[in-house]
Amino acid sequence: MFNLLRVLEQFLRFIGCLLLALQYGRLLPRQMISQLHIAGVSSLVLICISALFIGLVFAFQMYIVLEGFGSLPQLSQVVAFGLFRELSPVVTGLLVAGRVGSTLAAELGQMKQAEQIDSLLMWGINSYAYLMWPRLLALLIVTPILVLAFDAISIYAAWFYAVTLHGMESQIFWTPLVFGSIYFEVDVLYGMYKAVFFGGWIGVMSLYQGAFVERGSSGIAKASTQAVVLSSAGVLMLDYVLSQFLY
Amino acid sequence: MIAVDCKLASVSYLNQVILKDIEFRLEAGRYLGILGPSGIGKSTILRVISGFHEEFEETCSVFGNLVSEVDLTVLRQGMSFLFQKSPLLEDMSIFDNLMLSLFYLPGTTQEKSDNIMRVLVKLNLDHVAEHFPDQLSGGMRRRVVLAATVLRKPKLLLCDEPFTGQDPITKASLVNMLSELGQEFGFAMILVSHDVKETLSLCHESIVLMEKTVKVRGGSQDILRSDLPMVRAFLDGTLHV
Repeated sequence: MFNLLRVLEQFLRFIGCLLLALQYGRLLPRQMISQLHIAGVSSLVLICISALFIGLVFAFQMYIVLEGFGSLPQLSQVVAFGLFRELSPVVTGLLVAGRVGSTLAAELGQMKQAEQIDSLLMWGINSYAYLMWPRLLALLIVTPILVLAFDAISIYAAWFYAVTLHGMESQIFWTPLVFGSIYFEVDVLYGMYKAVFFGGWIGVMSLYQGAFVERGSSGIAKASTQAVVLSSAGVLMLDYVLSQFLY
Repeated sequence: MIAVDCKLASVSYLNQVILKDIEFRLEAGRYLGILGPSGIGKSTILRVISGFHEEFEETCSVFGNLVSEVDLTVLRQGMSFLFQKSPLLEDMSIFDNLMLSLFYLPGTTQEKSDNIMRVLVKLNLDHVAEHFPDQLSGGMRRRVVLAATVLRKPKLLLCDEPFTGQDPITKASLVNMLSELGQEFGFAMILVSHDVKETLSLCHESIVLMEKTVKVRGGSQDILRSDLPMVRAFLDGTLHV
């Protein structure tokens, strides 16, 4: 119990320092570009591959169900509904947590152990402003963009499955999406809103784990694992809460 | 003028007392060596002085400012810390790392740039200005970190194990550089090390830490003449039974 309170106090102190660091708000463009690259570009291949196969497998499962009811023209609607609202933001969040969250925690933990963060403090540089905010901002910007990429690739994968592999007419596939019940604002944009929260959560948890890393190489491994576990669990919990509010 | 005045009744780490009755005073422009076996808490003294370690009793002041009371940014303004590990940021060139170390100091970019190149030339590192830290040898990285510390023109330099992992020639050149830079910039220095020969040759006064406290203090001859068995064993590198 005492330990839990100590961790909670440490976490709140971390959040306080992070917010206070906003007053130093002097972001270096190079730092931002580098972090956008790490969080975004390096995650893109993983996101594309996942989106491709999730789109295919989702279309495959829905095709079987809808064919039984004679409702194949609704395939794109059903697939898009599930993908845009839930699967796309959640899977993207989980992938970013695994790919970027672990990297952030390990990188910051290594910097802490190598005394680089102490060194910045000696130079009068606020480590929260210089190291943490660019990483956090990059995640806030990049995660919704990755969700959009996931949406686009997965729906094209579903189209490929239905049209190319099963001979459905392309127009029948797209018409319900364009004129049907899929609304850009509700289904696509809300998914991106969720992604902003997911990115923020992953960033804060991963940076916190890195900033308070324990000594030794096992400390970095532990921080990295904790970052992924807490980020992933948080993404799933946040998804439920946000879905209640948004829809 | 007194640079550092430490009276530490005890220093703890994770609620365990690791040092007690540590008392020393360092005048501006003088060098103090802190010797002792690994893991005894030598580096923790430097961390107390620089405000990174708060678990201590009684007082420690730097140029008249109490470490426990003064704003840490103000405390660290006149201070540089040569860390044991190499704290250079890996995604930046050596020049950019040095530029970053001067980020919040007054002066134009051109002035800072000229200053950096002057120090790099002095330390024979001007040819690696555009290199990245992972392209340098351990000795070169050490000298770059030294450049970063003296560039800020500190009044107090804290050196944590600067000779660890260096070959004898690099050690000798580091001793020379610290001595020359001290004469040029006039800083006071506290040097923590377990390299007896280098520390005693460089420092005006030294203390030897054993069993959580100061066992011997004085100039190099006082230290070398000590007849305490455990201190002798440490100085001579023999086993103390």
